[in-house]
Amino acid sequence: MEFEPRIVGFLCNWCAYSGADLAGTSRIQYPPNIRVIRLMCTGALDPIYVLRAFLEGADGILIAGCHPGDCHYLNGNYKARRRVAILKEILKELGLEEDRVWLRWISASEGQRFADTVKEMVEYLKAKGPSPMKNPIL
Amino acid sequence: MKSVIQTHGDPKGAVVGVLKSLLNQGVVKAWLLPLSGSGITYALVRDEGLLEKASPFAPVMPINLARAVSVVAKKGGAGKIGVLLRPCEQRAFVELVKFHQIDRNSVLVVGMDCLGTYELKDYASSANTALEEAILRQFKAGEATPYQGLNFRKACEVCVHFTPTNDGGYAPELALGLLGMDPYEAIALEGEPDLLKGLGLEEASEPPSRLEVISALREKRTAKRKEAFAETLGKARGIEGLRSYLSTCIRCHNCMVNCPICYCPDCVFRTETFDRTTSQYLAWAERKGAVPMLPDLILFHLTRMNHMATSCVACGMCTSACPMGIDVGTLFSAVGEKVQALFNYVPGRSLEELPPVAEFKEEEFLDLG
Ligand code: SF4
Ligand code: SF4
Ligand code: SF4
Ligand code: FES
Repeated sequence: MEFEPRIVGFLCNWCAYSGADLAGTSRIQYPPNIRVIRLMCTGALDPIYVLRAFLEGADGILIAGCHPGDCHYLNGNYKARRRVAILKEILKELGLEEDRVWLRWISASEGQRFADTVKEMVEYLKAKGPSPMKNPIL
Repeated sequence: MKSVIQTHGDPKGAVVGVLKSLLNQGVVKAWLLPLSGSGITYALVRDEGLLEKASPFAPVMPINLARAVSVVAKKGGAGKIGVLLRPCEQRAFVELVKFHQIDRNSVLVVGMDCLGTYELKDYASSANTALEEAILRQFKAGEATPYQGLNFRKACEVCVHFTPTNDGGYAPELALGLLGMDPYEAIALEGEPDLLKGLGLEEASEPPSRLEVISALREKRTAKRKEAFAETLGKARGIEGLRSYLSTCIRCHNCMVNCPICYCPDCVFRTETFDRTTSQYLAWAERKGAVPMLPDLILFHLTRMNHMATSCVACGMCTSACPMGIDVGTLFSAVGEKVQALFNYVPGRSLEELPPVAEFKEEEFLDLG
């Protein structure tokens, strides 16, 4: 059986979440490997939720928010970008496969971009294999 | 301004004299410093007579004193408290000021050169005065050799920020210069001209050998640090490596409680945020086969690192506090150094540079998004 990666998507309500919605209503096809968690802004995402998702079995994390300059709360996405930079650096130094964390800017009208991103990510993770961080006990 | 005080064979007495004078002049209302009695106790000292018990050179650090500064001087507004800080405490002080945990104007800092400290339990079970004298004698050559049968704390063995002054960055109101000096003869003082003049001191330059001793020690330590950090990052590599590095962790959270940077009173790991109901735990165990109890060990360490590694001052207090002897500090310092490098940030270097988690730029990490 082919490995089906599990992706947890943290999507901003004002952009990427609507973009995902649009992809759905416009019947744009994309793989069903993503479980979506809606945020009010990417700036509200604490790294603890990304880490928890990995430890609980996610193979990849997509964090998607408003394009630079378009954040509903002015600068939440810039703050998120810094936090992601820190998170990825830590994962890299510890050999924990930082390339499983993707940050993308996707607006409410970019349904196609959302679908393409998920497709691309699924292919990337299929080639990479399951995340070693899951099942962190025994 | 720079000056030198003669110590006439009694370095401690000379420093106590300075402390007393600043208290009597009303420059500070009290001193926060280590007192010796049965062991070392940090205290907020108001009584001049008790300053005789001050122990500025005891090579031990029960807590990172910056934590205590944030307890007494968080709000401020009641005059200045003088505090005696080692360089890693001073750097934690600077970070805590920037995180609004210390009112900068309520504190007068006296910094000092540091060659290293012992673990508290080693210090407590040794001849204290012998340890102190041995280390004071080593400042002149700048060679830190631990007392027979003991080791310095791991953080100290690889400490590269062992002086209180930073080139062009933050400098304490007063800095005691010991490296390259024989403290039994003289101690270099650097600080605000008003303070030094108030102490009746004249401008005087330190011996040139002082700077040479400092740079030689820095070079040696930098090499050791690089080696130790690489070794630790090699050991803790990958989820297996990390789990084995932390395999004896009993999740007591002492490393966090004793970290000067982990100041959050409502830290997520002290709240019920991640508590679940019995049926949720059962569902979790069913899904995974088994769930470790208490849960979230790796999550705790990785989250703490994400929250504070950008400001980790490499003081090693987390290692000293760990009942299981896990070298948390070297791991956090090694990762911290890499994360800080992303922002060209050195914790404690300056009061002006904002901590990386407290700001952002529009044009940065453009390849990430
Ligand atoms: S870490 Fe550095 S400054 Fe702190 S006690 Fe050790 S040698 Fe001194
Ligand atoms: S993580 Fe450890 S070494 Fe770093 S500041 Fe906190 S106590 Fe000091
Ligand atoms: S102090 Fe040691 S045992 Fe306690 S939580 Fe930290 S690493 Fe684990
Ligand atoms: S509102 Fe969408 S990223 Fe801030």
